[in-house]
Amino acid sequence: MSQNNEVKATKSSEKHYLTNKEIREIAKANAKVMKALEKKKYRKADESEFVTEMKDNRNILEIDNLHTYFFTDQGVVKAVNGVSFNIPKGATVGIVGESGCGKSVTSMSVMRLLQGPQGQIYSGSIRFKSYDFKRDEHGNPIPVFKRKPNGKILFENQKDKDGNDVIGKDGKPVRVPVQETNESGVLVYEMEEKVFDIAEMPMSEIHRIRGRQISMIFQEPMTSLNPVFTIGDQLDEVVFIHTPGATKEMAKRRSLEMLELVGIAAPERVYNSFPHELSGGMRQRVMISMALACDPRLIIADEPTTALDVTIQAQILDLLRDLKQRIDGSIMLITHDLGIIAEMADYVVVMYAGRVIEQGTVSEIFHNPLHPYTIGLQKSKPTMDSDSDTLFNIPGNVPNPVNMPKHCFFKERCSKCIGQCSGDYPGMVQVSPTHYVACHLYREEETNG
Amino acid sequence: MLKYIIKRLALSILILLGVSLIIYVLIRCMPVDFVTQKLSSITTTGAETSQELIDAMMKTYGLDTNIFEGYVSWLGKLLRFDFGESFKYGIPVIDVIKDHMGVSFAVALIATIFEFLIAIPLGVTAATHQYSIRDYIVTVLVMIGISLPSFFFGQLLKNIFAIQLEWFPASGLIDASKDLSGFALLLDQMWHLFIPILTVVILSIGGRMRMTRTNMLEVLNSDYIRTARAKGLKEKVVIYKHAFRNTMIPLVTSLAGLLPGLFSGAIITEQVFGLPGIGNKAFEAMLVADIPFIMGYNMFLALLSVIGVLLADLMYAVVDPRVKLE
Repeated sequence: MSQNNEVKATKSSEKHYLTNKEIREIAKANAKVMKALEKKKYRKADESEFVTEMKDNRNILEIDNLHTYFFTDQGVVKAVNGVSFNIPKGATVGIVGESGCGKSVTSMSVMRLLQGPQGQIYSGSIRFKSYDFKRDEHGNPIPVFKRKPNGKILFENQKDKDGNDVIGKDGKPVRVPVQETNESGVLVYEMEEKVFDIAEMPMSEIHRIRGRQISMIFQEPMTSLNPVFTIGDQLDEVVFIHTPGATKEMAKRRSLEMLELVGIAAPERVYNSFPHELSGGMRQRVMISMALACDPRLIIADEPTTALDVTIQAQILDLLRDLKQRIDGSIMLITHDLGIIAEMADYVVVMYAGRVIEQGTVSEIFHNPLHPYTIGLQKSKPTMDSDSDTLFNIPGNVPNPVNMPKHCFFKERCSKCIGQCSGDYPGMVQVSPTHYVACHLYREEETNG
Repeated sequence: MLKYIIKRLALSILILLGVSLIIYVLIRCMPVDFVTQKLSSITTTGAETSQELIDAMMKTYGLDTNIFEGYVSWLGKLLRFDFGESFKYGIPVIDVIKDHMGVSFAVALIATIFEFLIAIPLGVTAATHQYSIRDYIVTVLVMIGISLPSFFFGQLLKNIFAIQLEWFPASGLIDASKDLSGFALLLDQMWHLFIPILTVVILSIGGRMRMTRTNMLEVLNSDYIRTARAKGLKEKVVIYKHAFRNTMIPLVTSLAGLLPGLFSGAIITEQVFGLPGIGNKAFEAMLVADIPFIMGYNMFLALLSVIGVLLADLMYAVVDPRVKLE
């Protein structure tokens, strides 16, 4: 199928229009692929089909050769075209790149939020180490019971709604084991670590990951909250769906706790407000508190500060950094602002036209950028001490996403082009244990060391 | 809120005044008036007419004054809640409306309930399965529904079910050959109303379904639905709680706008099935320029419309927390 698409791409790249015949061909090929992928998305699958192993146990998320395509009427847009990177436990990984380079689509793929049937994960795997309830053979979570100092399970009289003892058939109070609760009163269940391949998970299972294990903060706080429900309703909901046996009071307590955690001064008032009664910064704080409500292992922040003004931006970033420490999670920070990356990230992934072109630690990317695009990106950052009146910009445009060339996608805009650049797309070259770059300029270093 | 309602009601009085002026002037400007109609029917029987008779009749029906004087005297009566006596039916206008509203209201209410019950789920499935076979089938069927005129489709159904298959009575509300009372009479009337209601439902589903579909699609593409999905909510909860609550906003407000439609009667459908509804009566009165009845009927509709619009605005504040009535 992919071969077929390649052929079509080169054929129509020679002219700027599509004939009716070509449009029909594209629609037919798309429909076939989309149908197969949709079927896979909604299939019933046994857990063994999507449980896998991490390559490196220190990572929390491993994206491996991910291809996310959009099947449009003009052809297949390869929005994410073979992206691989890892997010280590406890680290903040920044993803940078210009608009349309596939940053957001990568994050949407991880959350499986792509708009179907056009947007589909075509191939690749997204391995995620989740920390989920251990389930018995019926799929119910296994509770942890309170134990006496001698190791025996603690029992108590079963109470009805009014607090009276329930009397059994034999006339004695019914004795039930006492379930352990944590400090905020939430019932404790047995937990286990499991590695899921998110790309292979059917949609019916995805709620095990979404919101609870990986949560997301969106770019637009103004429109990301449902206007007809109160903040309280929307926050409680997260607690309800991810905590078995949660009561209303418990959910409210947790929500208020979360609102306080994100630095909202009057949590009770905000809890009862509707989204339109709050400012943008407040709404983003609410979004963050929503993302944190279930102690996720990974937070995806998709340009969390783009829509906010600069002072609020700084507050939100401080908050994110502070919270990461507290919940001991990882952050995948998507932004096009290099300043934010420098401040927040431990590792940086630079994306261009749906591919990772350079990745490394934050100091490697900032002090020793290797790929001409990364260098250009650094240069186009406005600085106070530069004498120049004009801002540097990288000339040219990103190639048409439908007909990607065979050679390096940056070739037409690159100032350091060499003969090899007309050849195949360059592979990833390792220049240090953590620093990788996809550029022909560095091929020799690979062979040397 | 109370202040807002009072303000709106005061405005409504102004609107109704304007409406009454327009209606009265339009009817008085009609080329043929009630007396001429009546006289022409007398002359066809061969009877003689004299100028005195014409003048006397003009006076009886209040047509001897000019438009302005006529309007003022009619308005004066209206302010005392006196709609006058219908020329055609010879009884107070209020009584005509009261007697014939029941049938029209029954048809409209039952039809509206079914319209909403059928159109909303169809709209939701069409939106959630956008561009699927299901969506296309639903859309094409309701488009056929919208496009059919009621006089044609009503006749078609009547022809198939009443005349060819003889499952249902062809017209009227009461079976003259039977002497029924109580519950049996009610059942028989429902039996008579079946095809008229079916016609109205099929013809009105289309618009409502398309409205639901469009709203639902718009809501489903919004950022907060993505947030709801990202929270880990099941797709059912996302659609029927988060999306549907937002789709409800325009639907509920359109419901209030239906108020005049519930009482006005379906003029053409009632004609086709010979139902003694208010629409039918209004049509007949219109043909003979029955000023008091047409005025009374239209004022009644105008009043309902004004109340309907006010209710729609109040409903907005109920279903959408962002709307504050000041």
